[in-house]
Amino acid sequence: MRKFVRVVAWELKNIARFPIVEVLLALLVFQVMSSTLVNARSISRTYFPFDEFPQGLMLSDLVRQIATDLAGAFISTSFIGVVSATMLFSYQYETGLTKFYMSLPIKRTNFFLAKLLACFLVPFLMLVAVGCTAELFLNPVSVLFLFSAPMVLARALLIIGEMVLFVIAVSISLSILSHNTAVSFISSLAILYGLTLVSGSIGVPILPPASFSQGLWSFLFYSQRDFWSTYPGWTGAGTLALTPTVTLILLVVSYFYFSRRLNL
Amino acid sequence: MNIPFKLLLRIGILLMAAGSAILGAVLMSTRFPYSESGSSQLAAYGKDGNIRYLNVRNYEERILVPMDFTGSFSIYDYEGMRKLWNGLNEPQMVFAVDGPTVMDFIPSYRGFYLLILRSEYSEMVNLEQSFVAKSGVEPDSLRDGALVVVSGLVFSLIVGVAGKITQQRAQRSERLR
Repeated sequence: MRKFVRVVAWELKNIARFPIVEVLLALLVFQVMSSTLVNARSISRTYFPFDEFPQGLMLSDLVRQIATDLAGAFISTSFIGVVSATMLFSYQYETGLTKFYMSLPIKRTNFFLAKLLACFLVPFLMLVAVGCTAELFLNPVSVLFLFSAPMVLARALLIIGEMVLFVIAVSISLSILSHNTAVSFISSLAILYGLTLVSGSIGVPILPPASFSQGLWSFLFYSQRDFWSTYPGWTGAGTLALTPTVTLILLVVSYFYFSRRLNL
Repeated sequence: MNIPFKLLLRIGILLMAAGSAILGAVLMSTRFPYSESGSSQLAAYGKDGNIRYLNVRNYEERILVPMDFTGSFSIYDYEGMRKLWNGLNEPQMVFAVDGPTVMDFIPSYRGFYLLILRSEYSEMVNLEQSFVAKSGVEPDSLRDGALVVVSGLVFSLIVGVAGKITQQRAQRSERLR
C-alpha cells in the first residue's frame, strides 16, 4: 500500500510540472466562472409561506447551478484530462520511462492503477476546487452553511466524477493503444470535441457531455418521475447507462492491454 | 525545520492564476443588463415572496397594480431572513407601493435576498412584476478578484524572498564549516 501511494505521489509530481497546472487551472476557472457569474443572476424562486429558514434551499440552488456550469466545462476538463493521460502513458512510453519504471519491483496492475488514480485526481480536484471557489465567491455567506445540504454536494461530485472518468478513459485508451504522444493527444481532443458537437445537435442527451449536463443532471437534481417522463424507456436508460458502460469498457481494455500485452 | 518553499511558491502562483481568471471572467461577463418579468394574482391582504440571487449593482423593480392599490415591498438580506424566521420583521429596505410603482435599489453585498410584496388592499389584484438588473461592472466582484491576485502575488514574494534568504544562510554556514 505504501509503495502504491508513493507511485501515485510520483505520478502526480510528473503531471504537476510548472506551469502546466497553473495554465490549466486558469483556463478552467475562467470557463466556469464566466458562465456561473451570468447564470447565477437568474436564480430565483417563489418562496412563500415563509415557514422554514431557506439556507439549505439557497445552498442547493447555487450548488445546482455551479454543478451545471462545471458539467458544461467539458472542453476545459477534456484538455486537463488529455494532458494528464498523455503525459503519464504515451509520453512516458515514448521516452522509455515506462520501461525504467517497470524494472522497479512494482506489479503492472498497481502501476496502472496508480497512473489511473493520478490522472483522475488532477482534473477532479481542480473541478472541486473551482466549484468551491465559485460557491464562496458568489455567496460568501455560504461558508456558514456549506454542508447543510450534503446530498446536493454528493450529487454534484457524482456528475463531476463521472465526467472526469469518461474523459480520462478515452484519453488513456488512445494513449496506450497508439504509444505516440502527438497521436494520442490530438486524437483524444478531436474525439472529445467531436462528441461535444454531436451531442449538442441531437435532441436526446444520450452522448457526453449532454449526458452529464442534461441527462444525469436532471436525473439527480429533479424528480425521477420528471426524468422518466421526459426520457421514457430506453432513451432514459441509455442516457444514464451508456456513458458509464463505455467508460468501463475502455478502462478494462486499457488495463488488459497495459498489463498483458504492452511490449517494452 | 525544512520548509517546502517551492510548494508554497507554487500555491502563490496558483492563487495569482486563479485570481487573474476570476478578474477576466468578471470583466467579460457581468457588465451586461438582465431583465425578467412575470404576472400573477395577489390575494386581498396577501403576500408574494421571492428568493433571488443579487449582486452589488443597480436594480429596478417595476410593479404594475391598480391605481388605488396600497401595500409595501420589503427586501431582506441573510440576517433579515433569519430574523423574519424568528418572528422579527427587520427588512434591509422597505418601499411603499401606492398604485403602479418603480423602485431602484442597490444591495449591500452579493448573495441571496428575500423580496416580499405585501398587499393592504381589500380585493384580489392582477400583479405584473418586472425585474431589471442595469448594466455596469460589479465593483465588489472586481475588488475580490483583484484581492485574490494581490494576495497570491504578496504570498509568492514573501515565500520567494524567505526561500532565497534561507538558501544563502545555508550556503554561508556550509562555507564556514
